[in-house]
Amino acid sequence: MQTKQHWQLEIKPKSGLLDLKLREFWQYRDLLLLFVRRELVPTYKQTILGPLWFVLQPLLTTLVYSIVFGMVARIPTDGAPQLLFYLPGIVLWNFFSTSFLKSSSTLVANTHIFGKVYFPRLVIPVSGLLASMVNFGIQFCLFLVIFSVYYFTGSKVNPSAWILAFPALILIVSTYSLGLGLIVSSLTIRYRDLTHFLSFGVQLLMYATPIIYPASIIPANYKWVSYVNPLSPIFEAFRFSFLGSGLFNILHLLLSFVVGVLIMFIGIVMFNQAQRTSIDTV
Amino acid sequence: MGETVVQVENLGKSYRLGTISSGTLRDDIIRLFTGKHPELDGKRVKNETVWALQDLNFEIQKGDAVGIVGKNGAGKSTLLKILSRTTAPTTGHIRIKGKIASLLEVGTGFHPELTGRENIFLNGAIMGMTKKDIKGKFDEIVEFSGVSRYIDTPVKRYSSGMYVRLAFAVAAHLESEIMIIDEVLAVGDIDFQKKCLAKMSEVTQKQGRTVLFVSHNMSSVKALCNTGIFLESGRMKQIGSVNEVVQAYTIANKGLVESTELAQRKDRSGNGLVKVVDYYVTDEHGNRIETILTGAHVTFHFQLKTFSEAVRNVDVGLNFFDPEDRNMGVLYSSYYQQYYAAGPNENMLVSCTVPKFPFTLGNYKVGLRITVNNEEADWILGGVGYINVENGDFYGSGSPGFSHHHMTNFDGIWTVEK
Repeated sequence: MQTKQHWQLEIKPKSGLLDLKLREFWQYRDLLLLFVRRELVPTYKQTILGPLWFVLQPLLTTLVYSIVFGMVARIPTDGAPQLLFYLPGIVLWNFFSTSFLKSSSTLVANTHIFGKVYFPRLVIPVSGLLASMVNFGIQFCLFLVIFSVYYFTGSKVNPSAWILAFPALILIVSTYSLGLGLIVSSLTIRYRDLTHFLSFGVQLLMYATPIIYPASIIPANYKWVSYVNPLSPIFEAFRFSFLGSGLFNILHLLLSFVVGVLIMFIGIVMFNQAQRTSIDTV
Repeated sequence: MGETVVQVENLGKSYRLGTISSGTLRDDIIRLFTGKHPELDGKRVKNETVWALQDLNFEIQKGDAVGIVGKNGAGKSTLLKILSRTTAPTTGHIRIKGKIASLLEVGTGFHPELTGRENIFLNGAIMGMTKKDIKGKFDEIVEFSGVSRYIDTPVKRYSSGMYVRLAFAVAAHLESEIMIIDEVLAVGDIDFQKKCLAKMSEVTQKQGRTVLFVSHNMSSVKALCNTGIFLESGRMKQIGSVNEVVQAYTIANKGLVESTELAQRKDRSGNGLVKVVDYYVTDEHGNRIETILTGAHVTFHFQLKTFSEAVRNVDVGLNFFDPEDRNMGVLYSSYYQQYYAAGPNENMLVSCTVPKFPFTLGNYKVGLRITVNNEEADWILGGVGYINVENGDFYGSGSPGFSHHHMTNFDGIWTVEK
């Protein structure tokens, strides 16, 4: 029987680098949404204050930053009210760090499920990203409310039409949190030490990003730091669009976007290779 | 008759032993970016890798129910993992025609905080069903599980029985042409287990699906499968009809047990005050035998040994297990008010004569359990040995009986009155 058979699936030792199986990913979109739900619902279910914590956390952080960096360390805020200066940075950073940490733990934290059943592994980090996005949405609304209060009471804020570009900014942040998360996740299978470095690394990255300080106060000879850090232009642009203060450079932003897409692509490729045998080593 | 739906060629899977990292960072980077295994070409391969599966070749036809048997470590789970795509093979490939679903566990991805309803959807989707599929089967699943009253309660409030029933119910309603099933179906209470098994045979027999089934339980393999694959040390030992394969597996197991001296066996429990160190069987003339004829007069002899302590109230129990590991009968010396005693470091030969051996054709495992003052002193988990039973003249009339259809014979006196 040498007739050519039509096989629907071939299980092979290796898969092509660019065989990202995105179509298969799309077929599992129901699962993706269910995983987002699985991330979100339990956190809301556990307590009455559940959803409120998402709002309280950035407010309390803002308060702490206002006291420590604003009042004690006297770091300028480019003339913007302190609450409005810290809050957007904190909210956006929360989004980045939660989705980054979530996707970076994908392969190690889900060994149990991964060892039992097949589905495109990318579903897990992407659902984590979407869940973080929902939480970000809530915190962002909080910011919008506070912002409106300031705006309509005549405070010194100069929002511009760039506000409408905020979905693009979220998208760029997503490429970094997902891409870097996937890279780290692929590496942690072999180099478990990375997990210990992670929380420290995220903290370090936060201080290298203009969140508690405006990019404008960086001394001229250290300016390269904020150019090298591709997250900087996103945070500056986010604040600029609402407050009208800060360094906003469309070229830097575009560059940041290109690098982000590249990192995400590398992340997906590495992750796809790593997940194939991850349960053997974890 | 059928078309090939699963084709396995040269399949192999190696694991690295020892350190997780394979050696140098350079090797790792090369592998990460090329998918190649540089160390596989090198010399280090011999001491660092172990092959869980090697040179596996077989084909499965549409509608076959294939039982995969083998000892622990034979590669069954590895094969399942590769087939269900939770890990990739090292060599070779598998080609599959049709939708494949694996059931290595029930309730994968269940979240305790979510309700039964939410978990049905989540678990179904994890196993590859679409939302539409699940909606269409939802009522059926709920009814099968028998937890409809609690369907909107978080599953953390479920009893473990309810949890497992719900989980199995989802799995049982998976629609796929090829199913891979691990020994997970024996879940829940007896009634539910029966329901599971009935559902399983419905799936395999009526709906004409292809099933790969892994189990240690030879009776469920025989009940559910028509074909068998016997794996040994990662290689294919035999493929064929399920009866042949189960028999080969049973005989291979027997060889293993007999190859080790009883005194040296490690698979034993008990406090060790008395141990069995030798065992043999004799016929009515005192000649050692290895094959027993049904209905024969046989004696089982056990050499027991005591150690530093003297013992009293020693009770010795003899039992037999059929090839599917079911306990066929137990006989303790205490049933006849017989207890034994011995001083320190003594040997004694305890014998049990069975005047009319009742079991029919097959291989039986002989078990021996020794207790001292009702506390277990020695029990060899794998049995003290195997005996081969051939048809004999049990009834003294020359009638062999239907020995292929039952496991034991018994005496009876038939009379008639008019």
